[in-house]
Amino acid sequence: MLLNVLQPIAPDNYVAFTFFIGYIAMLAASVFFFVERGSVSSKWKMSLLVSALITGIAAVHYYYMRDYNLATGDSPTFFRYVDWILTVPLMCVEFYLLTRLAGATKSLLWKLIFASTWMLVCGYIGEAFNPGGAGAMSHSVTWGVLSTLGYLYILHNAWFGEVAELAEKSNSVAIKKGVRSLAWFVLVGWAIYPIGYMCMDGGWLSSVMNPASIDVWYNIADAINKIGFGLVVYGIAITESKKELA
Amino acid sequence: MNKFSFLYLIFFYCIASIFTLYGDIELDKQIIGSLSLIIIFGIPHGAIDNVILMSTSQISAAKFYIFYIFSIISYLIIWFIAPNFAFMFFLAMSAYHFGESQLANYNLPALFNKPSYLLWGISLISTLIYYNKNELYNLFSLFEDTINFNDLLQFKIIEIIFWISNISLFLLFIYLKSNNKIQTSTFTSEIFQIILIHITFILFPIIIGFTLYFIFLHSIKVLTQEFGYLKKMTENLSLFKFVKMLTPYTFISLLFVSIFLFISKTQIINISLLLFAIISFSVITLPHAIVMTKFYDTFKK
Repeated sequence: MLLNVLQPIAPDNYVAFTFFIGYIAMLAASVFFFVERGSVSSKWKMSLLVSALITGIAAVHYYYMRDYNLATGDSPTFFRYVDWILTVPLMCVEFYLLTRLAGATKSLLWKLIFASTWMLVCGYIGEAFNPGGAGAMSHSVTWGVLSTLGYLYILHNAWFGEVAELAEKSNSVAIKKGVRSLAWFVLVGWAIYPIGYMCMDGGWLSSVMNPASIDVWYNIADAINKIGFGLVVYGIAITESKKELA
Repeated sequence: MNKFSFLYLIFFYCIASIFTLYGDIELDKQIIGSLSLIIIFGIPHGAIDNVILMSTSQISAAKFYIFYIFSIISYLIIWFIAPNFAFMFFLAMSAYHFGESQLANYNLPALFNKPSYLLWGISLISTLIYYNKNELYNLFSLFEDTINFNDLLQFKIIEIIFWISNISLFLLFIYLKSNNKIQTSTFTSEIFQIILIHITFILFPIIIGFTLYFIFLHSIKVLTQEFGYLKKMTENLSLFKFVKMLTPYTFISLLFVSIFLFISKTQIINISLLLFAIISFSVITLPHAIVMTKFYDTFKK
């Protein structure tokens, strides 16, 4: 399968290029986070495991997305959402794990999981289906707005809500800075997803960004968001573990 | 990111949805939306200038009204005698005022604060004009009494000011951060807001772009600051009482606006609505900006 796929790839096929890089980078990150579980105290092993799962799940999906894109030339919307619906709630789980020691409750965990799932299910319905036919945008806009409500809820929570308050309450500079870094990921890093949504065929931004090239940006953003997210968590885990040993 | 940027972001996404659905928003609908927000938040943010100035400068009500009316009349005379100068002064004064409201609560070193305010505001206004030059040109060209403003806004000069001010602003923030004059969170928050403003001005028409900035990053922010300041002075000040304080002069402003709109529509005074709007905003901005400078001086104490 691999040899049949490699030969026809054009040097300027940046979509394929970033799929390959994304797949390997996620796999490498997954191995790294899993192995580094041994370097942190028991309190932080779960966080690193979740980071490893996020990048590991993404690596598997990127493997399939790469082949799907090379075989069909289409954007693998279906696979993307399958990936996001698993990995994004896991990212929200990280917020809970980081603030657990400061008093985060299971209720916060479920609220974040629900919001992220809502965001992705609504986004999928809006992007993958279009009962109005090509060019009709009301369906996509309606579900896009509903999806954005979930995104804004998570964003608000990370910056001003329960997650932010718990991080402030914790006695750890590393956790405060780390949660703030993750909040920036949600604000800036995740912004590519609504932007990409608006770049779909017929979308408002389709003239600003070619729908065919959006996959390049999704691939880059996914890698940065997932690996970067995990590295922030890793940084917190290492710092806090060293403090415990000292 | 602060709460004002968050509100800004919500409305940014709302307007993006409207554009996605309809492709465009007609000019008259843009004006109606913009004016509605200005009436709800823009005018009220200056509606307690009397309370603010009397508490910061310990002046009497009579002196306040003399100052306010004298400023307005003086500026109106300047508009009559030298309209081009009045227009450029309006831009410069607005730049300083916007920059001051953006940066005043950071307690910048004395050497930096006033130049920083002006730089920030010039960056904002030049960015707005730079990205929307054609639209602004067409807008001013609609009326005989505003078409001359296009000669004042030479694109080459605007382009130079745009690049110099934005690069200088960025370097300023880097300098302040690297010398620990501002915290990392302030630095990242400010850079994020600047980028958000640029994206807004690129993507949206000038009226929508400016309204988003003016309402969410300026007026609502200033209202919040005023409420916080007055709450310290009056312990049992509730939000409801604060809104009640804003109401009288908001209504008086709206009444004057209605009267002048009637005068303009019936051609009693031969002036276009656009020029009327620019003059109205500018003559109100002068005393308001002076009051707010006094207000922001209290932040440094």
